[in-house]
Amino acid sequence: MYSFSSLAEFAILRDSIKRELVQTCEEDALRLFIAINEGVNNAIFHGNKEDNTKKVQIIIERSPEDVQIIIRDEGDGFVKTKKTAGMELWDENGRGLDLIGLYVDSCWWNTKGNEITLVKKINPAYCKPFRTYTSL
Amino acid sequence: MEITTNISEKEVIVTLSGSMYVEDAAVLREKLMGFIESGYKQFIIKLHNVDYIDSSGLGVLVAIQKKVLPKEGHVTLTGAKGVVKELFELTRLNKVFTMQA
Repeated sequence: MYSFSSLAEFAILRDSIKRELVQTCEEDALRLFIAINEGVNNAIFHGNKEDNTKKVQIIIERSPEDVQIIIRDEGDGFVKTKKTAGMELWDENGRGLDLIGLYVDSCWWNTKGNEITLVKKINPAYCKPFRTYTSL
Repeated sequence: MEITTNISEKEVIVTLSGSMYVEDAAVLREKLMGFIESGYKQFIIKLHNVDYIDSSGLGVLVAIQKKVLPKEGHVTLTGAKGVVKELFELTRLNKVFTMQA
Protein backbone atom coordinates (compact mmCIF):
# COMPACT_ATOMS: atom_id res chain seq x y z
CA MET A 1 0.00 0.00 0.00
CA TYR A 2 1.15 3.52 -0.74
CA SER A 3 0.10 6.39 1.48
CA PHE A 4 0.85 10.08 0.98
CA SER A 5 -0.51 13.51 1.76
CA SER A 6 0.58 15.78 -1.05
CA LEU A 7 1.49 15.95 -4.71
CA ALA A 8 5.15 16.29 -3.72
CA GLU A 9 4.99 13.05 -1.74
CA PHE A 10 3.21 11.29 -4.59
CA ALA A 11 5.87 12.53 -7.04
CA ILE A 12 8.51 10.69 -5.00
CA LEU A 13 6.48 7.47 -5.15
CA ARG A 14 5.69 7.46 -8.87
CA ASP A 15 8.72 5.43 -9.92
CA SER A 16 8.09 2.83 -7.21
CA ILE A 17 4.49 2.48 -8.34
CA LYS A 18 5.61 2.07 -11.96
CA ARG A 19 8.09 -0.62 -10.93
CA GLU A 20 5.44 -2.48 -8.98
CA LEU A 21 3.10 -2.36 -11.96
CA VAL A 22 5.81 -3.72 -14.24
CA GLN A 23 6.35 -6.58 -11.78
CA THR A 24 2.60 -7.14 -11.54
CA CYS A 25 1.83 -7.07 -15.25
CA GLU A 26 4.44 -5.59 -17.55
CA GLU A 27 2.25 -5.46 -20.66
CA ASP A 28 -0.38 -3.26 -19.03
CA ALA A 29 1.90 -1.38 -16.62
CA LEU A 30 2.03 1.97 -18.42
CA ARG A 31 -1.68 2.11 -19.09
CA LEU A 32 -2.47 1.12 -15.51
CA PHE A 33 -0.12 3.85 -14.34
CA ILE A 34 -1.96 6.39 -16.48
CA ALA A 35 -5.22 5.43 -14.79
CA ILE A 36 -3.64 5.54 -11.32
CA ASN A 37 -2.04 8.93 -11.94
CA GLU A 38 -5.35 10.42 -13.03
CA GLY A 39 -7.13 8.86 -10.05
CA VAL A 40 -4.54 10.20 -7.64
CA ASN A 41 -4.69 13.70 -9.13
CA ASN A 42 -8.47 13.62 -8.58
CA ALA A 43 -7.97 12.38 -5.02
CA ILE A 44 -5.44 15.08 -4.12
CA PHE A 45 -7.10 18.05 -5.83
CA HIS A 46 -10.81 17.23 -5.82
CA GLY A 47 -11.06 14.71 -2.97
CA ASN A 48 -8.73 16.05 -0.30
CA LYS A 49 -8.73 19.53 -1.86
CA GLU A 50 -4.94 19.72 -1.35
CA ASP A 51 -5.35 19.44 2.42
CA ASN A 52 -2.01 17.99 3.50
CA THR A 53 -3.48 16.69 6.74
CA LYS A 54 -5.48 14.20 4.69
CA LYS A 55 -4.07 11.04 3.17
CA VAL A 56 -4.42 9.33 -0.18
CA GLN A 57 -3.91 5.58 -0.29
CA ILE A 58 -3.25 3.28 -3.23
CA ILE A 59 -3.67 -0.47 -2.94
CA ILE A 60 -2.60 -2.71 -5.82
CA GLU A 61 -3.72 -6.34 -5.82
CA ARG A 62 -3.32 -9.06 -8.41
CA SER A 63 -5.65 -12.03 -8.80
CA PRO A 64 -5.45 -14.78 -11.43
CA GLU A 65 -7.85 -12.84 -13.64
CA ASP A 66 -7.12 -9.19 -13.06
CA VAL A 67 -5.25 -6.35 -11.40
CA GLN A 68 -7.37 -4.39 -8.95
CA ILE A 69 -6.35 -0.93 -7.79
CA ILE A 70 -8.05 1.02 -5.03
CA ILE A 71 -7.43 4.76 -4.66
CA ARG A 72 -8.90 6.20 -1.49
CA ASP A 73 -8.91 9.77 -0.20
CA GLU A 74 -10.25 11.42 2.95
CA GLY A 75 -12.45 13.97 1.27
CA ASP A 76 -16.21 14.36 1.34
CA GLY A 77 -16.74 12.19 -1.72
CA PHE A 78 -17.33 12.51 -5.40
CA VAL A 79 -20.66 12.48 -7.20
CA LYS A 80 -20.52 11.80 -10.90
CA THR A 81 -22.71 14.37 -12.57
CA LYS A 82 -23.68 14.99 -16.15
CA LYS A 83 -20.99 17.67 -16.26
CA THR A 84 -18.28 15.20 -15.22
CA ALA A 85 -19.62 12.32 -17.25
CA GLY A 86 -17.82 13.07 -20.48
CA MET A 87 -15.24 15.39 -21.90
CA GLU A 88 -15.89 18.05 -24.43
CA LEU A 89 -13.21 18.37 -27.06
CA TRP A 90 -12.20 21.92 -26.15
CA ASP A 91 -12.48 21.61 -22.37
CA GLU A 92 -9.27 22.37 -20.50
CA ASN A 93 -10.22 20.12 -17.59
CA GLY A 94 -12.24 16.98 -17.06
CA ARG A 95 -10.31 14.40 -19.07
CA GLY A 96 -9.02 12.47 -16.05
CA LEU A 97 -12.07 10.28 -15.52
CA ASP A 98 -12.35 9.62 -19.22
CA LEU A 99 -8.73 8.50 -19.38
CA ILE A 100 -9.31 6.18 -16.43
CA GLY A 101 -12.28 4.70 -18.26
CA LEU A 102 -10.24 4.24 -21.42
CA TYR A 103 -7.38 2.43 -19.71
CA VAL A 104 -9.14 0.02 -17.35
CA ASP A 105 -11.87 -2.53 -17.98
CA SER A 106 -14.12 -1.31 -15.19
CA CYS A 107 -14.18 1.20 -12.35
CA TRP A 108 -16.60 2.14 -9.61
CA TRP A 109 -16.83 4.29 -6.50
CA ASN A 110 -17.80 3.40 -2.97
CA THR A 111 -21.04 4.83 -1.61
CA LYS A 112 -19.38 7.88 -0.11
CA GLY A 113 -17.53 8.60 -3.34
CA ASN A 114 -14.05 8.89 -1.86
CA GLU A 115 -12.72 5.53 -3.05
CA ILE A 116 -12.41 4.39 -6.63
CA THR A 117 -11.68 0.81 -7.63
CA LEU A 118 -10.04 0.18 -11.00
CA VAL A 119 -9.95 -3.26 -12.57
CA LYS A 120 -7.83 -4.34 -15.50
CA LYS A 121 -8.26 -7.87 -16.81
CA ILE A 122 -5.07 -9.83 -17.27
CA ASN A 123 -4.05 -11.18 -20.62
CA PRO A 124 -2.25 -14.36 -19.55
CA ALA A 125 -0.20 -14.32 -22.74
CA TYR A 126 1.64 -11.24 -21.52
CA CYS A 127 1.69 -11.55 -17.76
CA LYS A 128 3.64 -13.66 -15.37
CA PRO A 129 1.83 -16.61 -13.81
CA PHE A 130 -0.35 -15.60 -10.90
CA ARG A 131 1.15 -15.38 -7.48
CA THR A 132 -0.44 -13.88 -4.42
CA TYR A 133 0.46 -10.27 -4.73
CA THR A 134 -0.22 -7.47 -2.35
CA SER A 135 1.94 -4.38 -2.27
CA LEU A 136 3.75 -3.58 0.95
CA MET B 1 10.32 17.26 -17.17
CA GLU B 2 12.64 19.60 -19.03
CA ILE B 3 11.09 22.54 -20.85
CA THR B 4 13.27 24.59 -23.19
CA THR B 5 12.08 27.42 -25.38
CA ASN B 6 13.60 29.15 -28.39
CA ILE B 7 12.35 31.91 -30.62
CA SER B 8 12.72 31.43 -34.37
CA GLU B 9 11.32 34.19 -36.56
CA LYS B 10 7.98 34.78 -34.90
CA GLU B 11 7.54 31.22 -33.69
CA VAL B 12 8.06 29.93 -30.19
CA ILE B 13 9.66 26.50 -30.36
CA VAL B 14 9.10 24.53 -27.17
CA THR B 15 11.07 21.34 -26.64
CA LEU B 16 9.75 19.03 -23.95
CA SER B 17 11.58 16.06 -22.51
CA GLY B 18 10.49 13.44 -19.98
CA SER B 19 7.10 12.93 -18.35
CA MET B 20 4.58 15.73 -18.00
CA TYR B 21 2.74 15.53 -14.71
CA VAL B 22 0.42 18.05 -13.13
CA GLU B 23 3.26 20.04 -11.57
CA ASP B 24 5.06 20.27 -14.93
CA ALA B 25 1.84 21.32 -16.67
CA ALA B 26 1.59 24.30 -14.32
CA VAL B 27 5.12 25.40 -15.22
CA LEU B 28 4.44 24.99 -18.94
CA ARG B 29 1.22 26.98 -18.69
CA GLU B 30 3.02 29.87 -16.98
CA LYS B 31 5.84 29.92 -19.55
CA LEU B 32 3.58 29.77 -22.60
CA MET B 33 1.06 32.28 -21.26
CA GLY B 34 4.02 34.60 -20.76
CA PHE B 35 4.91 34.31 -24.45
CA ILE B 36 1.30 34.99 -25.43
CA GLU B 37 1.23 38.09 -23.24
CA SER B 38 4.40 39.21 -25.04
CA GLY B 39 2.57 38.94 -28.36
CA TYR B 40 3.64 35.52 -29.63
CA LYS B 41 0.92 33.40 -31.19
CA GLN B 42 2.67 30.66 -33.21
CA PHE B 43 3.89 27.72 -31.17
CA ILE B 44 5.68 24.56 -32.23
CA ILE B 45 5.82 22.07 -29.40
CA LYS B 46 8.26 19.21 -29.83
CA LEU B 47 7.15 16.01 -28.14
CA HIS B 48 9.80 13.65 -29.54
CA ASN B 49 11.28 12.97 -26.12
CA VAL B 50 8.06 12.99 -24.10
CA ASP B 51 7.12 9.57 -22.75
CA TYR B 52 3.97 10.54 -20.86
CA ILE B 53 1.54 13.43 -20.58
CA ASP B 54 -1.35 13.45 -18.16
CA SER B 55 -4.74 15.13 -18.50
CA SER B 56 -3.49 18.35 -16.94
CA GLY B 57 -0.78 18.62 -19.61
CA LEU B 58 -3.33 17.97 -22.34
CA GLY B 59 -5.49 20.69 -20.78
CA VAL B 60 -2.67 23.23 -20.86
CA LEU B 61 -2.06 22.61 -24.56
CA VAL B 62 -5.78 23.04 -25.24
CA ALA B 63 -5.75 26.28 -23.23
CA ILE B 64 -2.86 27.65 -25.31
CA GLN B 65 -4.55 26.68 -28.56
CA LYS B 66 -7.80 28.36 -27.44
CA LYS B 67 -5.85 31.48 -26.53
CA VAL B 68 -3.96 31.86 -29.82
CA LEU B 69 -6.57 30.75 -32.37
CA PRO B 70 -8.62 33.98 -32.09
CA LYS B 71 -5.35 35.90 -32.72
CA GLU B 72 -4.81 33.84 -35.90
CA GLY B 73 -2.12 31.89 -34.12
CA HIS B 74 -1.68 28.16 -33.90
CA VAL B 75 -0.16 25.36 -31.86
CA THR B 76 1.59 22.64 -33.85
CA LEU B 77 2.68 19.46 -32.09
CA THR B 78 5.54 17.42 -33.52
CA GLY B 79 7.01 14.02 -32.77
CA ALA B 80 4.30 12.48 -30.58
CA LYS B 81 4.80 8.73 -30.41
CA GLY B 82 3.81 5.69 -28.40
CA VAL B 83 1.40 6.28 -25.58
CA VAL B 84 1.62 10.06 -26.00
CA LYS B 85 0.33 9.80 -29.55
CA GLU B 86 -2.28 7.32 -28.35
CA LEU B 87 -3.48 9.78 -25.69
CA PHE B 88 -4.05 12.51 -28.29
CA GLU B 89 -5.94 10.05 -30.46
CA LEU B 90 -8.09 8.58 -27.69
CA THR B 91 -9.08 12.03 -26.46
CA ARG B 92 -9.60 13.21 -30.07
CA LEU B 93 -7.21 16.08 -29.40
CA ASN B 94 -5.47 15.17 -32.64
CA LYS B 95 -8.41 17.11 -34.14
CA VAL B 96 -7.60 20.20 -32.08
CA PHE B 97 -3.92 20.48 -33.00
CA THR B 98 -1.90 20.15 -36.16
CA MET B 99 0.15 17.06 -35.46
CA GLN B 100 3.31 16.37 -37.42
CA ALA B 101 5.79 13.51 -37.28
